[in-house]
Amino acid sequence: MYKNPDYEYELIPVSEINAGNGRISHKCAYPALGASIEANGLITPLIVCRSGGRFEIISGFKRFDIIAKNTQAQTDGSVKIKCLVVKDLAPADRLWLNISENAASRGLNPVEEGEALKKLSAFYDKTVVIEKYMPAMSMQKSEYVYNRSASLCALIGDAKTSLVNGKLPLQAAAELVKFSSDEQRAFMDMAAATGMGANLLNETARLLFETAMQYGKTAGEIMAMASIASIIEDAKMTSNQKTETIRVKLHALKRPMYETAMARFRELAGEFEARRISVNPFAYFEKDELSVKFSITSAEDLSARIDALERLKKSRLAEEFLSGRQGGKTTGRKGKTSND
Amino acid sequence: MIRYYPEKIVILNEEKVTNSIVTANILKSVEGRAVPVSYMSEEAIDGLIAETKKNETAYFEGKKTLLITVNRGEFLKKCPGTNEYICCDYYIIDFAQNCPMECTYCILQAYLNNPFMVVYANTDDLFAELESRLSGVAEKKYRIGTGEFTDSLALEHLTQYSKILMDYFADKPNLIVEFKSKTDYIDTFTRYGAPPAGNILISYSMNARNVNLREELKTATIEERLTAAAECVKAGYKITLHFDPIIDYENFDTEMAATIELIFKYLEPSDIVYISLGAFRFIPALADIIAARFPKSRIIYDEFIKGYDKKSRYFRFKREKLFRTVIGLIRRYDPDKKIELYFCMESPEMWNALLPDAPASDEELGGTLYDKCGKCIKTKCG
Repeated sequence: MYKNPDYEYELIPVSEINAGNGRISHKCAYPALGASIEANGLITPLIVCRSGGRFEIISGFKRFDIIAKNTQAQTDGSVKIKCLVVKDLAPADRLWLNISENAASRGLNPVEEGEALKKLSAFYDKTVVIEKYMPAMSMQKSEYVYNRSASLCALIGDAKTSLVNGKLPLQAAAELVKFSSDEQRAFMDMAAATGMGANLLNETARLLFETAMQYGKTAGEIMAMASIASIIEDAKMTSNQKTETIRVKLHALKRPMYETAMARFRELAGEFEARRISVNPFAYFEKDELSVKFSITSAEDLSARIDALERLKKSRLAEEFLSGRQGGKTTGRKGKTSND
Repeated sequence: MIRYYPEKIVILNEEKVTNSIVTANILKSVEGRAVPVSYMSEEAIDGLIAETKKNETAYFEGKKTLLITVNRGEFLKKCPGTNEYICCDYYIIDFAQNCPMECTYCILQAYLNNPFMVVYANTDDLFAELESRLSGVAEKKYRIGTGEFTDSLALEHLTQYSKILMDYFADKPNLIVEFKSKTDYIDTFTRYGAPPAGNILISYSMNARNVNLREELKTATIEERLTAAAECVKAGYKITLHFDPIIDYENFDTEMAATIELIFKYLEPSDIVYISLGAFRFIPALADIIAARFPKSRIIYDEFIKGYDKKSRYFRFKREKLFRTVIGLIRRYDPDKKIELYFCMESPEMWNALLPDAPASDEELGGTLYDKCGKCIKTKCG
């Protein structure tokens, strides 16, 4: 049965209002909301409750931020705003009122979802939060989603702002939370200096994390190994060049054997690429074979390709890749070279 | 190690299941433990599975439920291989699915679509299928295992399935049966002793000491497994060992040496029929699961290539280095090469580099291993 909440409207001096602990929104600039309040005044009242002779915000933190920026409003009590004062609400209920109000009216951004889950978990068991409150916030009822969302609370302010503004993709943010504050700051500096797009930010964050795990080092140490700080400070490079250089360096750290093998291969195979036969080494990583491809459109083409194949047969490339590289072993299943 | 007991048992309400010896064994084994038992229709069980799978904790929570049901498909399956790699021509009896242990690298995490511990109780169907497919194939060298979709012995204290299978194979000496495990369970083998046909092999998974401690959670330690193996030898069984997956891990040489030293502290080379070697490999979906379920595990963060089986695996050079180390350590204790060594899913190039007589086909390798079992069983190894 529907029950009206117990509340009353009051005009309350801004100086008598405290922010309290229930905030889930991230503190940053809200230009659209600011412009609306400046033009129209506060249309939607704050929701507050009485607390120790003053008032505490339940819902309306962003609106309060904008109004309280005015020093006069904060100090002399001359600026009053209309508030809806609710009575007899337990702290957990006040929190849920704020979350549900915002979730219902405008939807929560990822940072707010994370804050909401973290704050709800202070009152309720994790299972209750997942089973009861996540669906009510239009979130998937899942421990994985819970963990990922709650972990976003560990982002530094700049990263949260970028995530809220859509400049930092969620996937990259989920990797960033595994980094220390300083490492996150360095990553955000890199993102700003290079202007990386969403896909590149995702790739770079993941590469940094995976390479750090691979080497048993921190993301900061990997950034140092890749000289990222000096790359972003290099005034001679364009943003695109910086991005590409960082990518190449991180990939080289992640795949050292591949890079070494490919560098050697390119050195030996360059001649054949110029002769329009494509020699692909990938099979070689598993088997003693090279994959050779070419196309012909005339008898002259055919002669040129046959000539190139003859050169390939006598080349150091074939010698190195097809024989003796592993210490004189033979090819084929019946080979006998053995250490056993 | 701590034995698995379910928190809940769900039984398919069909005669094949409710009248099965397997079901009776399980219910008897949990007597006095106040485990709730539900009898359900297939539709209800499907609903329960779907509901459980919705939860991200299904991998963990699902294992608390033991589902006793029927296998409506084939029990006997060929172990899947890839043309480019040499396979050992192995067959699997699919008697149960899922595993109560928690190895970080376990492929079952990505492979199974049912989160429960599952046991197939329709043994009449199992034996009818085995009769029709295996009778009159005396010339075919079958090596059959039960440890592919589950651990062979993780549920043995509940089901006695291995005992049931041993009794069935007791008069079929041409069929070699291997029970593969990471547990230290031995009661079935020590209580009844090795059957006269001698066609039963007890098999243990081995790994470097630190991999065992950090990546094979809820399993028996290497020493516990080897203590169990030694007891099985005393009871008249032969042992096989599997180093799979071999993982490039911290202090690989010394940690692997520690394990191999332990093996030969508990076993003589003549006790061991063969040892398989396989390097760590995984499908892409498994990497995401490992990262989510075991965030402290670093095994997926390395340099891999995509193999011909579409799985990520170490570079051939690295695999060769790892294998060379393990082979060298084993041969230090087995200089007369009594123990047959073979690779699981490796290329002819790897065989040529490290082991003699690369088999020309999967059947040839399977035949070699079968013959080795035969020699050990009829006489004594070596």
